[in-house]
Amino acid sequence: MTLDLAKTRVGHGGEGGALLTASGVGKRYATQAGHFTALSEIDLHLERGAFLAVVGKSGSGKSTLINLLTGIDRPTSGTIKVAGEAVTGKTESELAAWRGRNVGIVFQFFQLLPTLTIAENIILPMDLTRAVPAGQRRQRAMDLLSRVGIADQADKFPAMLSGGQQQRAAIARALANDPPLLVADEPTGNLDSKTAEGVLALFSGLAAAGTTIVIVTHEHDVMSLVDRTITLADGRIVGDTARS
Amino acid sequence: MRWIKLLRDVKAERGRTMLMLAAVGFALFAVTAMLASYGIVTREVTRNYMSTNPASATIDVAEVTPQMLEVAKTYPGIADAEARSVVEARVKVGGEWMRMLLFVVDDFVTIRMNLFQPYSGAAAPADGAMLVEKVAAPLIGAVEGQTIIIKTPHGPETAVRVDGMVHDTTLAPAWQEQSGYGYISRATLAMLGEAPDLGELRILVPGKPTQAEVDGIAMGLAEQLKASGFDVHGVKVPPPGQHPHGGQIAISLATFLSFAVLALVLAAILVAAVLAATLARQSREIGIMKAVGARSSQIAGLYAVFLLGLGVVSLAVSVPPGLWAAGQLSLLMADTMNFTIADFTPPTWVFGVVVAAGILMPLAAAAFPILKASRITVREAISSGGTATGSPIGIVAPLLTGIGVFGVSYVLAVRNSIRRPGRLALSIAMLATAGGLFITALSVRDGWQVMAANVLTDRNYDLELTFSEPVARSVIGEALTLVSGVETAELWGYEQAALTSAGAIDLMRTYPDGGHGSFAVLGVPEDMSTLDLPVRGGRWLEPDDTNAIVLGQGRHLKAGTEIGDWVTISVEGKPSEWQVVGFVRELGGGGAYVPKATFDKLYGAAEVGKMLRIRLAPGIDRDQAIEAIEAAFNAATLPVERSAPLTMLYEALVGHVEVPVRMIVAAAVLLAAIGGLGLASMMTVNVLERTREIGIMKAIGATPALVLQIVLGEAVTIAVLSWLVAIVVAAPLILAIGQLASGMFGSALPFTLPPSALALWLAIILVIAAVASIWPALRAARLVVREALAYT
Repeated sequence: MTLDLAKTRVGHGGEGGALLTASGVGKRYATQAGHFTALSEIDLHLERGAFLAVVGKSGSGKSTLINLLTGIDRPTSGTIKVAGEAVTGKTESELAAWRGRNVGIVFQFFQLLPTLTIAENIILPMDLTRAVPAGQRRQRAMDLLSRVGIADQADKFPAMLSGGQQQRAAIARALANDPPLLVADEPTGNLDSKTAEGVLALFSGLAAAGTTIVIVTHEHDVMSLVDRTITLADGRIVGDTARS
Repeated sequence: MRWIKLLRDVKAERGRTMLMLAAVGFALFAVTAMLASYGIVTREVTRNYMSTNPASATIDVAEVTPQMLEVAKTYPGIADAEARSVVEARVKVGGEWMRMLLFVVDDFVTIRMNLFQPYSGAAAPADGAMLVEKVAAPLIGAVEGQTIIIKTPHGPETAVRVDGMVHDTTLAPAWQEQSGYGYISRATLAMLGEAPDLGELRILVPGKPTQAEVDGIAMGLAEQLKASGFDVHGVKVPPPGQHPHGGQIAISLATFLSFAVLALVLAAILVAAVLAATLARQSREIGIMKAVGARSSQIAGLYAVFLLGLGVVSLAVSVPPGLWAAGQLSLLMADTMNFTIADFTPPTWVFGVVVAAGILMPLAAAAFPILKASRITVREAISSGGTATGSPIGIVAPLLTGIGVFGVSYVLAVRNSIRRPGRLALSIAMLATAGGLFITALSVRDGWQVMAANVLTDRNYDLELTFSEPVARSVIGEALTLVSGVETAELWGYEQAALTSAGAIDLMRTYPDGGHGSFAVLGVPEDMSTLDLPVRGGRWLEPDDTNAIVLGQGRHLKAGTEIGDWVTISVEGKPSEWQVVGFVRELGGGGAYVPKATFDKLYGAAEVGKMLRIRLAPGIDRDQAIEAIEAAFNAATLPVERSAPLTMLYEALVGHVEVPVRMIVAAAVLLAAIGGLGLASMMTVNVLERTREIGIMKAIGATPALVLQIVLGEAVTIAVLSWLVAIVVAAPLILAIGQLASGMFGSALPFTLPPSALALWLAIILVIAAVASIWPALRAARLVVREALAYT
């Protein structure tokens, strides 16, 4: 399945060049046992439309890295820029607004809000950022749901959908404001292999259409789909492989 | 080792533990305060009342004679008898006259019933002096050692020295009744111009008799006295052993108590919710413990001990302040209702109930989640992913799909508010009950004001005067020649009377000081033009009527009479027969209307009267004219007993409901505060439970301000829902109270739901909701996204 983003893009598409730059990024946490370094000296450069997989063992720093890239956490050293804009140095409010417009996040456990219908979950980021005119939000949500293949589930609540359907809805929500960067944290970790295949195919289509995608995964099968794979160990990049 | 785990869990989960502690502690504080004050006040009220040795019954007679006393004392079932009297008089306060009840005591030394406690000064007044009830003293400006001006119905204005103060715990506070209370001897009564006769025979039935037993004995004695030729007017039997305001106080406290119990139930639900969330978070740990050998009972015991500890700590922190609050509340009640508290120790059963509630309530509330969690299998526990199942907002979800037009953020706020129907229902119940009371009180006041305004249209005069003795028309005419602006001066017949069924003795459920069951019989002049009361049955008086009588609606219902019935009216012991021809709706006094010609033949003489109604000419300055009339009558030494402008009657009617309205409004605000605290607890738990959802929202672009707005919006939604329910609650209450008025005044209070009352309550409840939710809202807004997303 591929997405026709020409119909859904709202303002970031079409430009070439670097989308994400991380320079000397590090993260240390203060714990009772002393300081713990989760990430150290991470340098990363991603072009628009790149499809990157981040792999590594548990505790290698994968989640910390995506938390920093999405502005959910702040680095203790280094800088991160997305579409030329520095992520560091923003207030919580500024970060929230920035995330809403620039980053789509797909979580492992889908994390759809249970009191909103599927369509309303998709509309929520549009409401929050007002990136889409109010009158067009429902239609855009339906378009996105059609493209992930669950338009017929639009008015159901998340608990009424299967895991695969919920993850598709979560992807549609991540695309609501047509962000230039989409980050997925083990998006197939909770799905059966067939459903996981469908979800990964969605990501491939998105990347092909120009969305920059960073996917954290344990699944080695993904590597055949992505442009590039970096491997983390003990908070450092220990491998960086481009698909030939 | 598992107990070490428990201690460390408590430490690790101190936020949730503190929240449970706060919820239970607050509820136990409220329960302790309400229950202890209930125990203290009900005990002390009874003690106060019984310490006065209250008469079991009072028999109203023309005069209590020594022979009558002897008959009473030897009557079977009677332990003692005593002669007393209560006289309606007036006291001059700052140039105006105020009602004054004078309690006439035969002997202040040997007095045995309805005792009052010396407070300061002399224990017994000298002849020509009086004692004053201490709460009444400031109202009537009485100061020990100084004189006050008293006027009895038949006596002149007399300066009476105040020899001392007493505390009479059986009387309603003077400020509430707007009446002074004085205690005088028979000699003083004579000096005030009244016959020194004592008209009340008070009897004491020993032990703890039932109402029926007292009724039987009192009526038996009254019949015997009547058969012996004594003039018996009626029998008054109050509920045995019950303070006049005991029921009122108990109902008030019980109402507060029920809200404390509601707070306890809400706390229980919150504890269960928080613990369930904790158990879900610890399900893997439970699985691991079971994997290494823990039994379900051991797991359940672990959490049960935690809850027992929570109950003990909650009791320790909430009972002492609760007892202090109970003392303050009891003191407030005592001051308000004019009784004293000798012992602030709550009854033992109060401690039993509070401890049981503190220990058992959290345990009972959380029993189900504990049992469920402790029975989880190792496989289920280890594989638990924590994903939600089931519809979160149940069957109401389809009803709310239309609200999306207001924005998804608003949808979230509304749906979140209804997500926990049990909690929501309790919060709404507490807030709506308070709102219902508030709206009812203000609506009834509005309706009453509309009703009271009828006196201004039903009564076509400006000033009503009553005289202690009949005054001739010519004398009045002469006095009024000096006053300009008098359009009409109508002379009416006026006497205090008692309405009884022929040949029977009235049995009334009133206290000795609660009135005499008497009312006014009014002789209506033939050309009367100052009154136009709406007729509710039968007809008004006609020129040819002789023994016709028209009764006020309330009196008709009370007496159970119908059109065409014959009634007996007794004026100063002289009975007369009248046929009922009509019922009228009357507000503000009156009683029974008869033709003045017949009235004069029976009770007075033609061309004289004891009541004068004056209508002033249009355009006249009313205050000045009334002042001129009073001055002219004083100059002519007319025996004016009372001078009441019609506007005063209206204001008195309106003011009469002010005290209960304010009390209900105060109670409503207090209950709303309790409801607000409940709402605050509920919102805190709601935010805690939704930590991860809030993290998701922030992750996809919700700013802290928007999160704050959504949580506040949720509280506001609950407040608005409670407001709507409050209106629904208030409507039947207003109707019911209006119908009660129908029985008393002949027409129901107009049903009003004043927009100002609705708007005021909405404003109050919104403020309460905002205050109650600001802390949880700020907590939600400040959540760190990374931590919120990791929250389980």
